[in-house]
Amino acid sequence: MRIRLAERFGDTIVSGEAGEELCQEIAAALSRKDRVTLDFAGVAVILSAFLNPAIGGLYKSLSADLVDRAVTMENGSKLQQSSFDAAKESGRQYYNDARARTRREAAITDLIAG
Amino acid sequence: MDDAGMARLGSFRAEVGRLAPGSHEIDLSKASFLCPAACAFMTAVRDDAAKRGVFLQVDGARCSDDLARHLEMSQVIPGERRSRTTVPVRIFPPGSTAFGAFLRDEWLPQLRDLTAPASEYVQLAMGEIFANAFQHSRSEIGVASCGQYFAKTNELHLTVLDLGIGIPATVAAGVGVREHELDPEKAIRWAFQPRNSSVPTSRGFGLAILSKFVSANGGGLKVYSGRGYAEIGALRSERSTAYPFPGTVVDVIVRRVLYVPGSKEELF
Repeated sequence: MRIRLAERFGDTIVSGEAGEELCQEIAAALSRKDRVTLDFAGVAVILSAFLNPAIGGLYKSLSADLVDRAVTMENGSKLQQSSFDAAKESGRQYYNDARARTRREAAITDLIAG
Repeated sequence: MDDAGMARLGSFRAEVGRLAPGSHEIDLSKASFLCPAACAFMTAVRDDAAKRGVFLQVDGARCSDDLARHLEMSQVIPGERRSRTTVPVRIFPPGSTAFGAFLRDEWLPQLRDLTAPASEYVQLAMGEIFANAFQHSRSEIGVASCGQYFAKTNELHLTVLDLGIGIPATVAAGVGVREHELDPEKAIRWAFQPRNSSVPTSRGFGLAILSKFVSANGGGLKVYSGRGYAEIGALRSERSTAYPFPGTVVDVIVRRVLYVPGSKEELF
């Protein structure tokens, strides 16, 4: 399945809610054994507020291996590729990496302890 | 933009909050200049007050000529005068995505000699400020923004402001404590660290991307938010302020863009 982001969301993609909706759509496609390609052609700016729920959110309910392998991007700039990769990595860590979770909890504990 | 100025803006908003419905004049006859943050703040407070029937007006005829011209060019007061170097105040209501076009078409073209990747990087970093405000601030009026270009130094300023709960309160709510239980200085420092976020679906990228952009490209950044203050430039510092700012104001200076990240590791 190919999703043309600019056609769907416009050339400036910033909405977290739109990201959550896309996450559900991609998850449904993966459960049908489809591969998903996000086409970035025509996208001027895409923010982490969208990419984190759209891509990182997939790791919540699907295996990291499946998401890593079956969700790809095309026609993006170098910066967009970096943002896409960062969203994947953070989602993988957030939902699958116990050490990352521990670090996060420690950061909160430190903050509260003052 | 300094502590005393921010405190005065806070007092101004408190005073407006006590006004009865009706028309009221803001007297700027003794003012000589309003910084971009003050212009954006005044416009935001005016729009916010109008929702409860309090209508604020500035009488340009009672201001000095210079100030009246500046307010007109910033569109704080109505008028025809415009400047090629002043990006007027715009209000983006909650959920608006129009800031992308604002950055690209109104604000960014002021800066000379940008490559396409540099232009994209600036829009990404500045867009993260808006996205952060929309996602976390709970600002009922949305976000106000304006800009100013200084041709001699090829310096472009952007002010982004909301009337929300502020970063320290957002962090406190996110980690499950009351605001007064957190040191504002530590809360704002925490918020700027990569991967620290008070919202589960967020990953703490926004402020970290902005922070990296500024420090890697020799720009400047000042943030007043609640009782917290952060500054990123040649040096980096965070501290608490004596008086709370009723919301968050971010002031960014972009001078040149020589660094553009080439991988996910270089984003933060």
